Amino acid sequence: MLLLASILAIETSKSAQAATTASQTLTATLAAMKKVSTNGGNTSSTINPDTGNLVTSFTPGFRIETNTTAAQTLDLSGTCTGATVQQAIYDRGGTRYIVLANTTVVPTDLAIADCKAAVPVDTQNANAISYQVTEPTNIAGLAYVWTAPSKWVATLTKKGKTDTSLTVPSGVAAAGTYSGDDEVGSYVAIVTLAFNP
Amino acid sequence: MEGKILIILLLILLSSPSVLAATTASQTITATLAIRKQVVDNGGNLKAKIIPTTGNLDTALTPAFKITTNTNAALNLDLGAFCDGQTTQNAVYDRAGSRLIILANTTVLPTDAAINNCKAALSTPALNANAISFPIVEPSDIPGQLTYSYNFALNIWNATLTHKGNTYTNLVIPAAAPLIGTFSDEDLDGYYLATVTLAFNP
Repeated sequence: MLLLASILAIETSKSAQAATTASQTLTATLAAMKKVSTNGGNTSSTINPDTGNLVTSFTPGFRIETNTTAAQTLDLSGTCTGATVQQAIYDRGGTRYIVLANTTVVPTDLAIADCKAAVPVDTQNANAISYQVTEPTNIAGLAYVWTAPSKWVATLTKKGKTDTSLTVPSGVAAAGTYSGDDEVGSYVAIVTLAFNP
Repeated sequence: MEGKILIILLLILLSSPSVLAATTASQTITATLAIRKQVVDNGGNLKAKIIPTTGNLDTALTPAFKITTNTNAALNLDLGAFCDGQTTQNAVYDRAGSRLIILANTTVLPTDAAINNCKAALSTPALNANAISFPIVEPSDIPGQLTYSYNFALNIWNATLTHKGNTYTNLVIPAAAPLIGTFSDEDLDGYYLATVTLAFNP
């Protein structure tokens, strides 16, 4: 009888020790946010037919959004279209330029290349016209470095929203890139800002 | 059910924003280039002497122009000249299929009537003092690029340009005798002038 009572006591003790609480940990991982969107600015202008001057500045704007202050890099570059898609931004003597290509009468790739040459010859670059580009502005948390041959690399160390833009100021065409051989039409380049993976 | 704990798990899926958000953005910049219509002087000989004893022009006058456009679409230009009497007059005219130009004395201005007398079927020297007419060579066509036709109503040349880039043209007043009846000792010494103009229309 005593043994049976002991056994019953032990069994009773076991049910008194069972867990009355259980927990599960929920975890959602938020990775780094990398977002670039267009942010206005002027993207339309005219070219003075007599001089080749760009009448109104271009100021394509972008907004960068991220959720980390860890350094990230982005590329700011441009393209234009001849027979094939070409890099539009180039350096000459420490000054940056952008080639606008006629979309009505498409230039040859050679014409675009001639705009970028050390001494462009206007009879060799019909329907492609170059204009000077202002260096993009460094701000706190966003620093640009020109990276040959055709882009800026920006280092971003600021979380939240960062606004930036590129300026192609109104003014004269690059020497040797505008002439009567440049036909009527729409002269175009595409400016792109992209996170590096 | 005793002892059974029903656990409802609420899973909140937070997708990584980098998967949904665009990491690239592009802006297209566009500059429109309209038709270029440009005419500039392009030299040539603009000075000559009139030989006092004969009235002959001693050197050909060859005013020249450069036309620049950026299209092969047909564009119209007008080539003409004017001179000054009491008022500004058309200096170019036709007589029997030949074109002539009047040079008017700027030191002693001719009358408008004197200029008109140069243009008359029969010019009389006593009636056209200080205005002298000289023959003009028809401006030359450039095949496939520039074509001239004389406008008898306006006494100008109408030109049709179908060449992009640069096109060069001129007008020639050859070293030659003046038109009979337009030179005499009634024509006083001075500078005899006409202004030749080439202009897009419009």
